[in-house]
Amino acid sequence: MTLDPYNMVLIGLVTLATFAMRAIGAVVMARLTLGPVATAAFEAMPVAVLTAVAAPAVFLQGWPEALAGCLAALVGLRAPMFAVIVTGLLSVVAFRMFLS
Amino acid sequence: MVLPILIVPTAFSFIVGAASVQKGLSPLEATLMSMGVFAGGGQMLALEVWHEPRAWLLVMLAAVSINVRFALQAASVQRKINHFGFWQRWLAISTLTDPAWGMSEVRHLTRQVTFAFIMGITLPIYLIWAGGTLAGAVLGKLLEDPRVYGLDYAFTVIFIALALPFWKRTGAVLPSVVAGAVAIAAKLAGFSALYVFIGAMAGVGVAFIMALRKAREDTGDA
Repeated sequence: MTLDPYNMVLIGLVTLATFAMRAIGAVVMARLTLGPVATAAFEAMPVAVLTAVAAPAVFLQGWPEALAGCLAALVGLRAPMFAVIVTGLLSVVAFRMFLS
Repeated sequence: MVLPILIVPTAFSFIVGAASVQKGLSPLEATLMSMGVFAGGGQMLALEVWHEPRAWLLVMLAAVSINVRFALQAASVQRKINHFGFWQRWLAISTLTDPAWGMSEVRHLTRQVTFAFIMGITLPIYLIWAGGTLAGAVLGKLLEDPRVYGLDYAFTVIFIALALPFWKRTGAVLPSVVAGAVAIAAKLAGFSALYVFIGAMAGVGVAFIMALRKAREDTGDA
C-alpha cells in the first residue's frame, strides 16, 4: 500500500472542492432564493459537463466505441443504470473484436 | 426500502475502484478518495483529467462542475434539517448524496426528516462505497490489460449512464446536444483537457438563454 504525494494532493483538492459545493449550498444558498433563470443555468451544468465528456469519448475514438456508446444510451432510455453499464462494457468488447 | 438504491452505488463503486488504479492510484489511495469525496461522478471526471497538465486546477474544475448540484440539494435539505444539532447537521450535509437528498425531499412531504432517517440512507451507501472501491481497486490491479475487458471504456459508459436521466428531460436536450457538439469541436481543435469545460459552458449558456426567453414570455414582454 503506497501513498504518492501527487495523488494525495489531488485527492485532497477534489475532496475540498466537493465539500465546498455541499457547504456553500447549506450556508449560502439556503438563504438565497434563486430566480428561474439562475436555477436553470445551475441545473444544466452537470448534464452539460457529462455530455461534454461523453460525446468526444464516444464519437472520436472509432467505430466500436461509437456504436457501443449509442447502444448503451438506447438501452438506457428504458432500462436502469446498471444495464447501461453492462451493455456498454460488453458491447465495446464485442465490437472491438469484430470491427478491428 | 433502502436496498434497491444500494444496487447502483455497489456497481458504481467497483468501477470507480478499477478506474482509479487504471489512473495510477494505489488501492489505499482509491479508497481514501472515495471516503473523502464520496461522489462518484466527480471522482470519475477528476480521474479523467488526472494526468493532464495543470491537473490540480482541472480536477477541481471537474469536481465543482459536476458536483455543483450538491449546492442546490444541500440548500434544500438544510431547510428541512434546521432542527438538527450542529454536528449532526454538518455530518448530514458533508456526506450528502443524490439518494439522501431525493429521499429526504420525499420524506419531508409527509413527515419530519430525522437524523436517523438520513443516516439510514447515507451510512450503508458510505460503507458500500468505501468497500466497493477497495474491492474494485484490488481486482483492477490484477488485470494486466484493462482494454481486453472494455474497462478503459468504463469512464465513457459511466458518463453516459449518469447523463441519461437528464437527457430524458425535454429542456435538457438542446443544451446537451450543444455541449456535446462544442466539446467534440474543441477537442478536434486541440484544446486538450479544456474541451470538457468549453463544451459544458456552451451547454450552460444555451440553457441560460432558453430560461431567459421563457422568463420573458412568462412576463409577457418578449
